[in-house]
Amino acid sequence: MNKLLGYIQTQAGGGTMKRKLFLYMLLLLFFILLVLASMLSLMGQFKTPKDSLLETCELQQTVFQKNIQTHRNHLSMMGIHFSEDLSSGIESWLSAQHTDFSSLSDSHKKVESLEDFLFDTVRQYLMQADCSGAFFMLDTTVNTSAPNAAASKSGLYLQVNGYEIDHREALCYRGSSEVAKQHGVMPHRKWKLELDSDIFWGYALAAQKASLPLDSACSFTDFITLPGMSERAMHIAIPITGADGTFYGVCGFEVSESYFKQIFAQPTKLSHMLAVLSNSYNSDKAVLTDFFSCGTTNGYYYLPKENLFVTDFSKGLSRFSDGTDSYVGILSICEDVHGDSLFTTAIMVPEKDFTADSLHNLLRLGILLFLLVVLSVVGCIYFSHRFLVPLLRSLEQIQKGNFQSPRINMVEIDDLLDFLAQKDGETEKEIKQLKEEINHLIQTQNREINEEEYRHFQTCLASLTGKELDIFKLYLDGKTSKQIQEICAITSNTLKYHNANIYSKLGIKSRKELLTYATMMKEGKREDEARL
Amino acid sequence: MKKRLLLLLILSLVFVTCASGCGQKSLLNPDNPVTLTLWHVYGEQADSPMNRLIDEFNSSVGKEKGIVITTTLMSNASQIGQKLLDAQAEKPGALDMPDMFFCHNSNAEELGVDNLIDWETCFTKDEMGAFVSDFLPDGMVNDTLVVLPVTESTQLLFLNGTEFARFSSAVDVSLDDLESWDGFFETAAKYYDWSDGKPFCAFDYLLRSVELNAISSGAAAESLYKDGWYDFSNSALQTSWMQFANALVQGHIVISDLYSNTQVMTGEVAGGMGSSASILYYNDTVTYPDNTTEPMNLQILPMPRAAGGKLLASQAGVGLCALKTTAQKQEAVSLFAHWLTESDRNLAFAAQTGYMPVTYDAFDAIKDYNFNNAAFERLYRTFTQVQQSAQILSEPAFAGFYGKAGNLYEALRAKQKDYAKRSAGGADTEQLSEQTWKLFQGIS
Repeated sequence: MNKLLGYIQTQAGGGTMKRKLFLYMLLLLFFILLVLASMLSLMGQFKTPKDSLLETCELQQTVFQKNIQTHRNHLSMMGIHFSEDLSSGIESWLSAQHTDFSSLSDSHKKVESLEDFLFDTVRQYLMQADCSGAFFMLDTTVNTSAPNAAASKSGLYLQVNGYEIDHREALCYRGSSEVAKQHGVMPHRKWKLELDSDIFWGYALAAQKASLPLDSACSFTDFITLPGMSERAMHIAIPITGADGTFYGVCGFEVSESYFKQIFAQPTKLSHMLAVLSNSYNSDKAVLTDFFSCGTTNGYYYLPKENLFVTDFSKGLSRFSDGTDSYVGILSICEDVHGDSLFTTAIMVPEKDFTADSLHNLLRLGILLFLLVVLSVVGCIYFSHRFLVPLLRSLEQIQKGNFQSPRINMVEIDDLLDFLAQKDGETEKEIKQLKEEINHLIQTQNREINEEEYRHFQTCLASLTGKELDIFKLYLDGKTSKQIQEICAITSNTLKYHNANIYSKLGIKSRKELLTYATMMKEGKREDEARL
Repeated sequence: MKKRLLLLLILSLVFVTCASGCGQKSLLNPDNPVTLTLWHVYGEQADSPMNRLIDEFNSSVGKEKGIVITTTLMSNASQIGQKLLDAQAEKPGALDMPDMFFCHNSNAEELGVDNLIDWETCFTKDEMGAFVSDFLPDGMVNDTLVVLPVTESTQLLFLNGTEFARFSSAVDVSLDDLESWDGFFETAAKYYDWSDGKPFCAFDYLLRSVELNAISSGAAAESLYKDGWYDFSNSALQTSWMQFANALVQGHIVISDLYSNTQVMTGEVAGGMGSSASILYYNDTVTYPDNTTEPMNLQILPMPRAAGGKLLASQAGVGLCALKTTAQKQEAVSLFAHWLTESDRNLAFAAQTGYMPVTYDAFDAIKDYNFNNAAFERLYRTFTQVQQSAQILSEPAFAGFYGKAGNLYEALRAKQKDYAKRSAGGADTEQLSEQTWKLFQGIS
């Protein structure tokens, strides 16, 4: 700072007050802006577009993850009740039919009867849970001799037809179409009787956990394309076990991609945001291969292609690229509330949008800085002008010796003018006194000078030559010998020659005597003029 | 002379200025795309070729021009009209009214022609000339083209080929017997006996078969209707109805549960009479209650005709409508409609959905199209046969018609099992058929 001030001092050293004041004011403004920027930065108010994006993405990510966790927790909780109700229903039916679970095998009549008995339970859970489908798969099949019988499982799979708010209509995707129609539910247009556990592999996942308490037995599957449809879905699967530990099968819920898009659409201020959920992200390969996506509640997003390659972008942000389009955002892996399975979420915006926003911000900042500089310079010029103009006027008056000029309401300058005016008065007084003293002295001296010699001096003035008279007058004007030489363009010897002639003709011996008589002559003339 | 030249110059300048200023500046902005919502009927509950087409549009032309289309509802042709009316009335729970939707022209009329875009303001006369001229009148409501034909369907008979082969080898019947309604009803009766009481065919739109049978017998099409519904004093209509009613009350045919294809897939019936577009929903196999399965071997036949009558084919199908909203949206809608009906795309889309294309070029190209599914190939062979030999008749387009038809099917569906039971118990089929006629007359 001192160096800078020194620099200004040096640069403006020979300059005007105006220039100095302008530079100091500019320096002050710069200093204030620097302090303001530092404070804003310290308070976290001064952010780059990357900082802003990161902060918004993190906030959005928190909300999105919380939504997912709450939804999965809700489905887990509903799934546990669903499993318990189905288990109790199966046992009630077995008891009422006086039969055991193994008798269901190869008996489509019994399976139909059981499906009929459990139908309303499944439909009730379908309507109550936040899901697009509800199902149970029994550890049996109605035809053990059918191809792929080992994987074929009897059961019911109901789906919601459309996701309108005003009504949720069920469709029978798997299970007895006759039973479904008796319950007023139409078979799905891609209906089949049984579920294939090779495709609905949540069955195997849940079956492995059959011996665990239900709290720890919920599993979320990866996404599968539902047979006969273009729709993809994930399942939550929970084992159904009897009171004695018999494994009856698996139940659960479906969350389809369309349903996911609808219920997880995020309110956001991010432009064209894309929120992604994956159950199988491999951080080593850094590729999102299998995911559901959703966008904003009242906007749109461009659906990325199958694989999103994840790379570092900057400042904690990642770049997601599908080979054609790229996105910028954040990715994080988190646990379910029960902590038994992981899922990955990502929030991103198109990189094109981010770049456009950054450029827009840069442009805005540029315009702001330009305006600040222009306003500062104009302000400094204006205020220095307002401050200095009266000051300079006063100095000009002082220079002219006019100390009585109007005051400018600057205490220091007004005091100075007052002081100078007072001093000026005193000086005039002193001069007057001095003049009086000089006159007095002259008169005294005149009295002492020989009257005879003075008259001779006056008489002989007429005998001086033209050149000698010029030199004499120059002496009377107070010029020095050197000045006279220059004015008359003569050498010092010539001047000495003329001086000798003047002295001899006027009867004097020195320049002092000459000046004394000359002054007496002037005073005499002035007195004569005054008398007239 | 000079004055005239000057006037001409000024007029030319004014014209050039107007032409450049008024006409061509696009309101679309790729950096700030306009979003259009769409309701359609292609692929409900299944694979949707329309959704794939929309993805293709969004990622190509839409991205380039600044249009994003979002499907907010997939429904079916019989339900979408009511859903649109609910949305327009802003009923609690109803979805927001879409910018574009597919519906029948009767639905468009109910929504109000003034609320919809006139496609003739979006397409030039030359462009309109590319459409099959028979299809355009279906889209006109009050002389305004508010329903743009995108695809057209007809009604066809779909048969479980494996079951029919078994049946025909056991009983002396063949597919040729299904060319006439008499043969059809005889075959249905034989199948009912052979299968221990299973209906031969489920009908999705029974009334259309009744109408075409009556017209094929010689009745004038317009004589069948009165005040937006049927003229019950028309004897040809009654005669035709009684033929179907006779088969229905005996359980030889049934009104489908909603879609005949599910009943064919579960083995409940051997065949289904429904829209050509239902091919999208047929599985490759039939699955019986004991989980035995067999190949469907889907056979597709034209709708039968009256004995000695002309072969008639029903032409139906929903078309594209668009709400009048902003000038920017209208430009986006027009661009999408042009893109959707380009001949190559129209053919590919129709070929994937079981519809007929709507442009002459697309129709001509069907014969050379490379189908990758045997059932679809058979479907388009039947289409060609229908196109070449049948007279095409549009479906009635009265406001509220489909609602009344739905009520009739609902009433018959509720009673058909009982009729069959009573008939099997010895009840007079004539009397039961009369009851169905009265029930038909009771719908208003």
